[in-house]
Amino acid sequence: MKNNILLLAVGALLFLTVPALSQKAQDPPDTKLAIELPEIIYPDPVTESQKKAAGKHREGSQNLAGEQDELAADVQDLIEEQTDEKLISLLEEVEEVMAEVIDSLDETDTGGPTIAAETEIIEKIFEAAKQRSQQSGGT
Amino acid sequence: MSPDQGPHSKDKRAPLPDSLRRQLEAFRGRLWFIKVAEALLAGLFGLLFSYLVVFGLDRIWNTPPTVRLVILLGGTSLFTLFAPYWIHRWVFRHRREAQLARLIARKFPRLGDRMLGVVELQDQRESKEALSPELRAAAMKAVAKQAEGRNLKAALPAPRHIRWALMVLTTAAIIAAALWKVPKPSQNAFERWLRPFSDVQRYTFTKISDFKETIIVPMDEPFSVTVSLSELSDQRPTSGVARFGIQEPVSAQLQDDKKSYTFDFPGQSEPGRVLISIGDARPVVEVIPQTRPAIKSVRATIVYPEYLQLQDKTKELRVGTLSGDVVVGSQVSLEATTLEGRELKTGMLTIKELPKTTERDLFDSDLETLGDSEEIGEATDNSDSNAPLAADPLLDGEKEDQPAPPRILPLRVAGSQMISPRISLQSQPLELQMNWEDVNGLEDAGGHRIRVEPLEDQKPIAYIQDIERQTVILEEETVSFEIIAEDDYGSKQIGYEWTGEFTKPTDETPSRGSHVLELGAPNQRRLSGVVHFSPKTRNIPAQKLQVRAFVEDYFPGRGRVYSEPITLHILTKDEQAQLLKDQFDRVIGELEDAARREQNNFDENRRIEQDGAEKLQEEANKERLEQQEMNEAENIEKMSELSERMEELLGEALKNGEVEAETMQKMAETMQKMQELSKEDMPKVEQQLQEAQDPSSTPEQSEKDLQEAIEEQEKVLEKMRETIEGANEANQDFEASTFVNRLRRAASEEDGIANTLIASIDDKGNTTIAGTPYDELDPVDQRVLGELSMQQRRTASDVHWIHEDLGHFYARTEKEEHKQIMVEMRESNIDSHLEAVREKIVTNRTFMALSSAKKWADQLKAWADILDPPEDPSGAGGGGGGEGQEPSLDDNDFEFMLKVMAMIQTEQDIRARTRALEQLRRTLHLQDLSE
Repeated sequence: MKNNILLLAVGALLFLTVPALSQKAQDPPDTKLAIELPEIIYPDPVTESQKKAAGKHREGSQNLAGEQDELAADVQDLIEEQTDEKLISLLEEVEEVMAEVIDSLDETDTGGPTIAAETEIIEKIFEAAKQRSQQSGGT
Repeated sequence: MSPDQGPHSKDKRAPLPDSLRRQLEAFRGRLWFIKVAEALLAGLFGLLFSYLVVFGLDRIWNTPPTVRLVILLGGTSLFTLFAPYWIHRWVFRHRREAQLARLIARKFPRLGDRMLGVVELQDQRESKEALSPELRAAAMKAVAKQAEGRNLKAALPAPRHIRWALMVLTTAAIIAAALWKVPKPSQNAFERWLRPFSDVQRYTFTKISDFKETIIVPMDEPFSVTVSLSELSDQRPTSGVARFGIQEPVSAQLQDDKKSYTFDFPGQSEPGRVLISIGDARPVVEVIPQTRPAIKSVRATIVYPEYLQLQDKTKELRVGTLSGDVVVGSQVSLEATTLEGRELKTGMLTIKELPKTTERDLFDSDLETLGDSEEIGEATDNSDSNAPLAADPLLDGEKEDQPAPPRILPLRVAGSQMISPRISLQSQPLELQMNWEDVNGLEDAGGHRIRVEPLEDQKPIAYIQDIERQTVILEEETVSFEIIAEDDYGSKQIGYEWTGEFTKPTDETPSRGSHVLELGAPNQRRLSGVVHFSPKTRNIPAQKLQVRAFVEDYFPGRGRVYSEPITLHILTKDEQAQLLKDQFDRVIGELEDAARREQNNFDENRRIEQDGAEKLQEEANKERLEQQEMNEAENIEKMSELSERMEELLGEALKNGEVEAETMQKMAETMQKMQELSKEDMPKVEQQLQEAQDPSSTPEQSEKDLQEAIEEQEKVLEKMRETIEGANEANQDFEASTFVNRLRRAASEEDGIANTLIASIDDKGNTTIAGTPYDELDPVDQRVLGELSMQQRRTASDVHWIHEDLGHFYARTEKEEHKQIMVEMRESNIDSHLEAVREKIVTNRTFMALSSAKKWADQLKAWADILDPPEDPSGAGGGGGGEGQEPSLDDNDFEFMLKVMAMIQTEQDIRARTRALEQLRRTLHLQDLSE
């Protein structure tokens, strides 16, 4: 019964994650690939209201950096609770990518590479969940 | 040479006797005279006669130049050929005595021969001949003597010079008479005779004015040929006759103007000649039938109004209507090309205004009066007040009843093309009629009409898709939707606006703002963009937002056109939790209904079973079993739907993040059981019921199948009961956690009331509300107090229900903390205190009201903290597991999964908000953000 619940949880996880992963195709691809991505030219704020909007963007980005930092702390807590090395390694990778996202958001970089990194985080967490599921299934 | 022949032998020639010589010389002179006269007179006659021939022929027909040349050559040939020949024959060849003697011998053979002998004797040589000169002389004398008695004139060939002279005199007399009587034609004939290839026209008594020798007429259409008499005409015949080729001749009378004749001919398809005969005039007209000039193609060049910023457009008009592409304010010019490149001479354009076609609904109550022109006129008047033509504006309805008279403009013609000037288009439909005439004078067959129906520049439309009209989201969530806008010409920009509205009174200002999403272009008819809307990114607190898409086109002064709005209910977590609770209640209720139906099915199955195996095969029982199977299928479907809803509910609860893990676990178990029931357990029952109806089964087998179905159904019922029990437990937990939310929300409401009252006090402690009797308050303040009073009433009501619910909940759960709160609430008499606060608000005792509201907000928070103690930063993990009971391995797994799911959810939110921020950054230049 408990195993069923575990499977159910993984199912629910899939329910949540599949739409997220399916969005991956819409996200800009990794800049490391040999595909030339269009260069985005961001307009400079000129009018007062545009400057206000730019400020809103900066503030929002930095707030998100804070939230990402909190989530990174949660991941850190989760790592400490784990014993499986592979799982720990996966979660550490998640933490590293999160650190990268925090830096980007802190520098108000909300572009494609940042969104791609966030997608990678989702994928890696999902990978960790599968790893845990397999680990439990084996016992 | 013989010796007697010497240079002097000629001298010894015996001369003719004088009388004979004189006779011969006279004969020769006469001969020469006659024959020379004959030659000269014949030549003269030839000339005069040939003139007369031309004169005569010209009276009958227009003698062609070649004929006249032949006649002239014939005439002069007597002079140039016959006369020399005649003179040569009779003069040159009859100059010697021997020649004359031979000529005489034709009439007088003996005399002639003798004379010839005498002439030959003259040349006899003495040395050669044996005759003596005396004998020769005697012979000559004898012949001379014989000739003396003869009239040698009788030997002349028949003289004709007199006859020729008479003929010359006759012809000369005729010519003289002609010159005297009809000098003009005589002189005209002389000129034409003398110069056959000159352009001297034949003289006729009936003189025709200059006319076209070649005319082009429409093919297969009747045509007429008109000729006019010249002022110089000597005759004016009353009628004339004309004939086309070999067809029947047609006649025409001299018309009333005494000048012209018009001959009407039937349609012709082949070219031919019309021979006209009027008096002695014989004009000939070449007739070439030709098809009327037709239009091969018409192109319209549309110049759009300046504000549309569109390039001019050229359109081939394959049908006679130009619509859809022309907008009011455009200018249009037409360019037509003729078929087969027929060159044009002139072209005209007639512009006629047409009445507007009013679109009427079939169910229009005025349909019966459709035939009434006055009413149609009125409808037209109301539909548009624009001027129909720029050049001739109609300013009011009365004028519109009487359409402006058609305008006629000349077309510019260039070869086979004709081009109209630009025509300004207003809202009135126009009919443009082109008429033309080719260089041959053939006109079009009815012209070419084009109906021009200018359309008003329609308002653009915008709509929102990929989102429900009513959407509930958390503050932290991001919703995405697509904005699509379409315009008939071009969209300038699209975006969205939002207007917030608090569902309860607060001192905060509702959110309001707009965002330009995409810029369009003059020829971009469709514009779309995806919006990632994050309330948190835009600092929009929980409230109800009306979001509308907008689009602007290039029409001056039109402004934004909005879509139907969607409503975003931005909820706080506790509000969402309450919503989930309500939904969960409904799911449980429906699950209980499904269980009751299953129980009924079970009872019925048992009744059927009690009838025994024998009766199972009866028709009535078969029908009952079939019905039971259908009932089971319906219940399976319902269960399947419930499990899906439960799954969604679980996902939403996960997003909320404040639902207890234990509650989530129970919800997950409930969902799993529902799925098992709908996919495994209940279908087994259905299958067994189906097998029980199998006609090939024996009664015993059917009974056995039914028994198995009942056994399976019993298990299903048991599982359903367990599921309901588990769901109720989860609901109780949910409710418990919701008590926290409800208490905190009530606290928040009280805080809100207090803050609104505090906001009415300025920095110096002055207030426009406090201390003023209610009736003397500003209407705005009165409204604020009224709303606060309502809010306080609702909060009091909520608290009352929390109190009451706690009682029921404790009765079921017997948890101590719930009892504690319930008792404290009762003892605090909170209901009456909250009512007192409301009365203070109504009576405008502001300070007392706000201090009381603050106090009760704190109290409510304190009670919430009993149920959900604030986290102790130092003692993490010491709360839930404080009883020392180690969670099982599976529980750890579930906890891990919940944490991981929450992390994914949070990361998704972060990503969605990053995307919303990126969108804001990229469109920074497009808008002036106002919130």
